[in-house]
Amino acid sequence: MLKRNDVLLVLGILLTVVILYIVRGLVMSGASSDYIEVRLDGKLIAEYSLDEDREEVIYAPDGGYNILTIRDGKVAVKEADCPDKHCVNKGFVSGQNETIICLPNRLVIKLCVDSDKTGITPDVMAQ
Amino acid sequence: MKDKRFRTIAYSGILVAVAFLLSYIEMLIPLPIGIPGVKLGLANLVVFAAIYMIEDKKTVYMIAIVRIILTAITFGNAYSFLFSFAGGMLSLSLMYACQKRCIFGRIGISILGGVGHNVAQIAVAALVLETPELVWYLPTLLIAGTIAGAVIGLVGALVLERVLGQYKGVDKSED
Repeated sequence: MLKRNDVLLVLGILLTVVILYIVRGLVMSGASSDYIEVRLDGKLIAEYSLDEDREEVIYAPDGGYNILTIRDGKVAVKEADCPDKHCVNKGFVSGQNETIICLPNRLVIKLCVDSDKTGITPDVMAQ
Repeated sequence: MKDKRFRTIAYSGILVAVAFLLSYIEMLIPLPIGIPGVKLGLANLVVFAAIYMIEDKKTVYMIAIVRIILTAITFGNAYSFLFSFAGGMLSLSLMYACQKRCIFGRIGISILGGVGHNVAQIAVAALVLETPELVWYLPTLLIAGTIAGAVIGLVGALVLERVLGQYKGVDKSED
């Protein structure tokens, strides 16, 4: 039932995983982020500083919502109407280049440091 | 000959129903990891079994597609349909390709199915959301896909042993 190739397959996958983890470790440093980018369908709709505690409701175009909370320099999705709740389960994150993703609502929250900033940044919430 | 066709139709109905039910049961089991795509993929158990139970490829693809549509309509939305469709189709195609060439055993095939599902899903998500950062979920998803695939393969092999035994038994008594 378990062929030799099966074992090789698992070893190959493990090797890929180790390499990816190493590369990811290089890209994502443990340093904490300064602000978050909120994207819906890939479009940047808002940016919030992590210095200030706040709560925002993000509405997806088709009626879904995610409530995000910023507290003590960390961000989490407190509540969402998506079926899988992965975004809520992720909990509070603060690391550089971290992301919280809600696929059903096509929401991406990306954590950035000030040096990532490029040009104009909208600070208004698009409804 | 006619009996065989009827049996395929009956099996398809049962398999779709079981897959749909497993999708629902899966929703009741929370996996608090916070990464989209990390799950057992219980419904893949049905697709995996169908590959061995039903000879007609088209029928197996139809079972997978009907299951995905039903699950998306009931529990998801248009986008969750898109992601599971991509995952389901790559997963099934990979499993078929490797089963035909006998490169891997049943567990290997099931692992490929699990990994393929996760890779396709995250690739489509990265495209739709225009968020290349999603690739950083890949290592975790690969591990999750491997474990889920191995579990499904082990359970699937046990199920097949019994179901196929039954299947052949019926064949003999009828012919």
